[in-house]
Amino acid sequence: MSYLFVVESADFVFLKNQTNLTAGNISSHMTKLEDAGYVKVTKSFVQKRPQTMFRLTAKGRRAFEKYRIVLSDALSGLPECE
Amino acid sequence: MKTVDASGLEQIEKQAYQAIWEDGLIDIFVGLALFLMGVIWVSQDSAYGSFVAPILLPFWTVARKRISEPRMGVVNFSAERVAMENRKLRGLLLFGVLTLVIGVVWYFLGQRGGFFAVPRATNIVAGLPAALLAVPAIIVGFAFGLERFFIYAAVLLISVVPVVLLDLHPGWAFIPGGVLCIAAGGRLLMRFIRKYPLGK
Repeated sequence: MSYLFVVESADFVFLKNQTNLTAGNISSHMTKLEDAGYVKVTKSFVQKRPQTMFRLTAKGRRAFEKYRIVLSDALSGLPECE
Repeated sequence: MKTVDASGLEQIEKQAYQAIWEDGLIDIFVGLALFLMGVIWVSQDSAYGSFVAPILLPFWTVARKRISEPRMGVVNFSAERVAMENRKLRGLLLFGVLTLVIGVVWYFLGQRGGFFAVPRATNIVAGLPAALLAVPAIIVGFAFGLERFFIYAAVLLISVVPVVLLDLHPGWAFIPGGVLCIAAGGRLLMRFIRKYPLGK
């Protein structure tokens, strides 16, 4: 979700290349995020090739922001490594 | 695991942005433009080579659509990033065109003598067009985070030296930089194609 948070939208191929996740991993993640209403998926054809675009919804952006805050608070409470 | 703090997200966005320049196509087309401008200027002794860059630009966008996007994928950046990049591009284009025009016009006016003429002993003005083009190359390096453009700028500046010292035609100063850009861009493109094969 970090990658989708920092851009307007990205397609399946771009996300796979940037995250180094497998196609199956991305598919299953995006399916869950779409079911939760966090990601909007748009499928189309470009030059006869299928293209799947992902975009965070407003709900998804709010959820990610909340996750960031919770994670930052949790990490800031940890002691420094020696 | 990527951090999700502000600086981590900034790093991710920067990485995503720099990835779109990995294909080396901008280097190939800039190099072609420089090389052809130099060759046309030397052979025709005219400024018609200045039209090369705007003619090549549509081919660059087609190449990105046909070669890069099917392999690397498609990304649309935020409206803020797009606006910022458009401002940078407009500024660069304007600066590049202005510097090239100033350099070329100065050279041709200098041929007629008078204020713009430079004593033959120095011939500094012959190196001016290429030297001025080095400036937008440096700006591209800073503005778009493409450090290899600093090297292209250095080659352009170094190419001015033999033009000035040996009293060569100013068009020759464009050619080494053009060749280097094409070669570097070609190498990047080969690496890009290996890294992002079709159907991966």
